[in-house]
Order: sequence, then structure tokens, then C-alpha cells
Amino acid sequence: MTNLVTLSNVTYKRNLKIIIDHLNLQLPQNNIIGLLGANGAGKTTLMRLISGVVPNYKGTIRIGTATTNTARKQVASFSQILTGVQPNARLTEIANYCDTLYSDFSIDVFEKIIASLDLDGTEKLSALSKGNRMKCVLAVTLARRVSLYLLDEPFDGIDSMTRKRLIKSMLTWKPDNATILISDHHVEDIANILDQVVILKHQMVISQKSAEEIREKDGLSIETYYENIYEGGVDHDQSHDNL
Amino acid sequence: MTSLMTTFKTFLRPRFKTTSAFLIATFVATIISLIIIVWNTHSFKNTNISNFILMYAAIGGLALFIKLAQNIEIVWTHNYYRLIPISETKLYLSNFLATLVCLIYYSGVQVILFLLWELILPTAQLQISLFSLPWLRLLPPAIVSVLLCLFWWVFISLIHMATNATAAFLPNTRVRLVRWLIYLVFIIIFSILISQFNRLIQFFFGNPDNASFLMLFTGLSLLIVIISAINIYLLKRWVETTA
Repeated sequence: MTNLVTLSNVTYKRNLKIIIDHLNLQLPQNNIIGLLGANGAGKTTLMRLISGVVPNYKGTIRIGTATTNTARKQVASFSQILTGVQPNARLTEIANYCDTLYSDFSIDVFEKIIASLDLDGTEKLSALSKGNRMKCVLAVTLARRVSLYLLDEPFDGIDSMTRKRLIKSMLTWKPDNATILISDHHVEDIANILDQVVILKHQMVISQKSAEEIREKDGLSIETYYENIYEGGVDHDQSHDNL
Repeated sequence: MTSLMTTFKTFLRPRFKTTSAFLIATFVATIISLIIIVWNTHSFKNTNISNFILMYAAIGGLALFIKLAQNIEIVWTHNYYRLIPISETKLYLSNFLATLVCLIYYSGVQVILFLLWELILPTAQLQISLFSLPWLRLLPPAIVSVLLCLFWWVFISLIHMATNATAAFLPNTRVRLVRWLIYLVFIIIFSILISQFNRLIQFFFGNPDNASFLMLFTGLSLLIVIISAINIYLLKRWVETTA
């Protein structure tokens, strides 16, 4: 399996605290990978590091051939893109902004996604409910045709029906060969679509395993496996071996 | 990668709209003030109009200066802008270039309107002081004013970036205290600069000869370039977006 993302010996400190400590990780192409971990485990930071918005870290991060922060921004689409957008901006204005600045942004895909999620492009971002805002975030993120999608808790605070629609959308609009790294607290909601699971604890990856193996070989659900890892029920060293 | 020109145009568009709104607001304010005065005094003095144009242009200019400073600063710390696949140097240049164009647009329109009014209904005093001068002599004060605005903008960015970068190295409990200490240092530097500039500017506007203009022009340009180089370094190496 070809690796799309490689992190080697990545360390990141902030406010005199180590957030990511000598982290090594490889993510394959054309996979949906669940990034799991408790609050403060470093999931968002890891995504920020991969996306290229964090300048001061040690180690190397590579997406395909892209190693610099600027180059990584070109090949990865990060769901935190709407941080800082003017609240009175209309969805179509945001789409036009992205269309101008990102050569891989597809207005056509954006319009299809928002139509499928019952969003109106003329609405202002500030007028959207939390659920609709998350739909918009997903539409903007997936409208870019890139090789890596970083979805940071895209279903946070969303009801189960909407969550299912967002997951369906995600699967529909994911380009072939693209990889999705998705973090979520509700493991059970995304468990069925995952190809792989990466678990973060103590500022590093303590487990990376294929979902199929967890289910078939270990006979566990993803959720149980995750809970066992966190409670120390599964040997961490073994959990890396089976990829 | 996204080009400097594309980013510049994208930044310029909303700021141009904002600037136009400020221009319209100053015209409307001038007209309303005139109507009130004519209504109350039943007389129409031409000097009123020139005075009102100047007064509202100055008030609007100050408000626009602050609004554009906000627009500049939001770019450094928000993913909506920092995720653009462009180098930090180009991001910095496009941000300032777009703001500079808006400042020139605002000042240009105000000057043209003022001069047009003076052509239509000349004020005796201004006729002598303004139109007796060669037009080229208006250029150095205009250039100095633009450079001054640019200087304050890059200086504000330096404060913002320095506090943001320093905060990353402090424990969470001390961030606020140190931030205030940094602000204090910058306020002292700011006060010293203000007094020095005041002397230079008074000297320049008192003796607007070529030598004093060249001195001020070179000094300001040099300071802008030096501060910008520091800003770009901070942006590239230390300034993070808010999560």
C-alpha cells in the first residue's frame, strides 16, 4: 500500500508543554482513517501540523512529495478553513473566494454538496445553525479536489440524522485515491466507514491498526478496541504490528 | 500555488467595497451637515462646504485607517487566510498592497472632490494658497502621508506578531501578564516614535523642500522595509493561527 502522509519524529511544544512528542506516523493512500483520542490528546494539533498552518515544529511532515508548509497547503484540505471568515459572508461568496484562491476548488461540486444537504447558497454564515454550519464546512472542504482531507470533528454537536447525511456526503464526494483523516468523539458513528484507526495518547501514536483486523482478528468493535487501548487492555506494541 | 496577484485581487475586493462605503458615508455626512446649516441660518457660505469636506474626510480617513488595520491583522492569525497555498512573503505583500491601494483610492477621491468643488465655487483664500502652487508640490506631502499610514500599519502588525510569537513560549498562566508587558514596551516605543515623527513632520511641512522630503522619505521607507522583514520572519517561523 502506498503511503500518502509520512510524519517522522515530529515534536511540537506550546506554552512550555509538549503537545506532540517524537511522533511517527504513516497514512496510506485511498483510506478513511479515524483519528481517535481523548480531549487534549493532540488530534487537532496533529491535523494543524499536517495541514501546514503550524510553522514551529521539529521533525519532517510529508504529503506525497510536498514537504514545506506552503506545498502541503496545496495538497491537503482542512476542515478548519472557515476560522476567521466574516460572519456576514454568504455561502456563495465563500465558495467564490475559495474558487479564486484554490486552483483545485470545484464550484460545481460545492453547489451539488450544498444542494444535497439542503443548504441555500444565498444564506449568510452567521444565519446558519450549528448543524448547517458544519454542513457548509464539509461542503467547502470536500469541494477541493485534493489527495488528503483533514476533517477535525466534523460531526461535533450534530444530531444523528444529520450526522448520517454528512457521512453519506463525505463518501459520495471523496475523490478516488484520496485519503480522509477524520477525528470524532462518537466512534460508533464513523466506525463502519473506517479503513484504519489511529489512536493518540500521551502526545504520541499508541496504536495504528486496520479496522478489518480489529473486527475480524481481534473480534472487537472499533469502539471497544479504542476503550481497551485507553484503559490499557491491549498491548500497545502489538497494535502497531499488523498494518 | 496561488499567485501574489490573485491573492492581492481577492484581498482588494472586499476592502475596496469597505472604502467605497466610507467615501459614501463622508459625502452623505457632508451633505446632511450642509442642509442643516442652510436650514438653520438661511444662508449659504461656500467656505462651509470646503470645511465640511475636509473635516469628514479626516474623520472618515481615521475610521478607515482603523478598519483597514483590522483587515490586515485578521489575515495573520486565521486559517481562512493562512491556509491559502502561498508563501508568507507573498501573503504579507498582497495583504499590504491591497490596503495601500484602498488608502490611495480614498485619499485620491477626497482630494479630487475637494479640488472639483474649489474649481466650481472657488474660495478666495484657498485659491491663493492652493491653486497658485504648482501641482507637483502637492506630491511630497501626499507621499509622506501614505508612507506614515503604511508605517503605522506595519508597526501594528509587528506588535501583534511579536505578542503572538512570544505567547507560544510562555506557560498559560503567564501569557496574559507577559502580553501586557510586551504591550507596555511597545507603547513606550510608540510614544518615542510619535514624538520623533512629530518633530520630523512639523519640520517637513514647515519647510517642504526637497532635502527634508528626501530625508523623511528615505527614513520612513527604510523603517517600513526593516519592520516588514521582521514581520515576514515572524510570520514564517512563529506566528500561528488560532485553533
